[in-house]
Amino acid sequence: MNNSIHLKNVTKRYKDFALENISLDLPQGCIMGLIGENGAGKSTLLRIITGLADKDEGTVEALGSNDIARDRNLKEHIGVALDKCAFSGALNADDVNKIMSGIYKTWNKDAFSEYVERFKLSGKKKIKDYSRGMTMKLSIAAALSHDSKLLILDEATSGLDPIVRDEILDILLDFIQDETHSVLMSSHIVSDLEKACDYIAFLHQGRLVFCEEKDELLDKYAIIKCTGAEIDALDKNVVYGRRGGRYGAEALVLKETASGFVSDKPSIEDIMVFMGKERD
Amino acid sequence: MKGLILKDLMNLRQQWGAYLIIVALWGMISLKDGSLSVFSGCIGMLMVMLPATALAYDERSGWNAYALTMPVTRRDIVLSKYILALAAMAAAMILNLVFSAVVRENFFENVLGMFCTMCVMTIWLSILMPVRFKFDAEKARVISIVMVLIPVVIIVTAGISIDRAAGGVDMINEFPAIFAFAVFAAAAVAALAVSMWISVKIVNNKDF
Repeated sequence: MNNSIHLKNVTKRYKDFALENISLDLPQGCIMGLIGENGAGKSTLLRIITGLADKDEGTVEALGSNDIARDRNLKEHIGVALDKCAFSGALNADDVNKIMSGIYKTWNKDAFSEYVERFKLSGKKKIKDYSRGMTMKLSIAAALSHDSKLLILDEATSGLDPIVRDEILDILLDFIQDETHSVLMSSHIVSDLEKACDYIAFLHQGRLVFCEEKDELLDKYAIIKCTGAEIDALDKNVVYGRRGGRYGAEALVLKETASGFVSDKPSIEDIMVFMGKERD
Repeated sequence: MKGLILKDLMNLRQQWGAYLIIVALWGMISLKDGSLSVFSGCIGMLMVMLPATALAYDERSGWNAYALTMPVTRRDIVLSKYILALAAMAAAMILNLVFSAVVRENFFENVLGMFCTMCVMTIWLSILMPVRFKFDAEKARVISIVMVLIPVVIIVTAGISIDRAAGGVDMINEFPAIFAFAVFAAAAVAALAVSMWISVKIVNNKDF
């Protein structure tokens, strides 16, 4: 299986923050969710992948090209939606259609008009009068209306109501019906990612904690409920995080370690919180 | 590039009405006076303001970062703003020529004066654009005001008297008009080329 995105030991250092040694692969036909706390480096990583920022070290490849910032042909095949709609409020959807057809060689005016209709966005209404959900749908419509094979979405569902978020997830699932397509999306709303993603990558303080298939990840761990002393007695290598006091405590452990304890199946959010706290 | 310029023109649509009123007002005053010097200066200023206003729209919406994820280079972003300014200048010159033809009196002086004004405005644009690309709208506005004040302060503090300055003007007046225009035009083209080069360098090193 070919990879849409290949990152190897990617490092980017700022004065007060560093993204260290990030390696991950996004296979074609898959959706990968990028999770992490605020300031974990998700947007920085997406900026590097989209060519907005240069890496200091490592290899970054998107759709087989490693010259993302300058490869115009490559960018015809990458659709991006940032956390904020970048079209000025003075424009309307019809203007966006005309503007983008002057930027992308592969722009499909009819496809964009269909998305505008499907998303119930008025072609004539000024973007400044759109709700946040409408601006995000407009950005996604723009990302889908050229020959995109890879979609990169930065917090595209944040601030949206559950119905709109669900619509957007449906659009993404439609998009990857073509096995050459793939999606990389960051979000704070881990439940959305749990619904739609095949892979989950967890960034914490600039480091990649894991990048695994979602189903394997959910099957790998268990949350045990016991006393602090019982957790202390476990091999430290199988405990990935703990919370609570001496008498009522919980720990994220490998599933096979959970036998003999009262245990729950963790959600992705549980795994993220346990592992994040453990590393603080 | 076509899409970038179209986007600027569409963003600036709201301003067109105000610009037209200003041009019409100054046009009427100039037609009445029979002199186009103020008119040339006025539309020259509008020309300089146009790319700066377009950049303010881009900044507010976060367009530039988004554009760089498209088949658009940093160089395209810079050049589109210069092309917008030059297109506005061409439109301003055509308008000036029409007005000069209507006024008829002093046609040659009016046209030459207009060309010289446009050259001065191009030099001003050339200085302003790198500042505008380097800093955000607020800082760039302050820096632009300071840049206008610096020559004034230098003249005042250096104690250059009005008589001496007037002598300089007399000296300039002694040059043939066409020679003065040639010097202005060469300076404007050189300034524009250097300005574009600096702006591309600034934007290449900018973090969007």
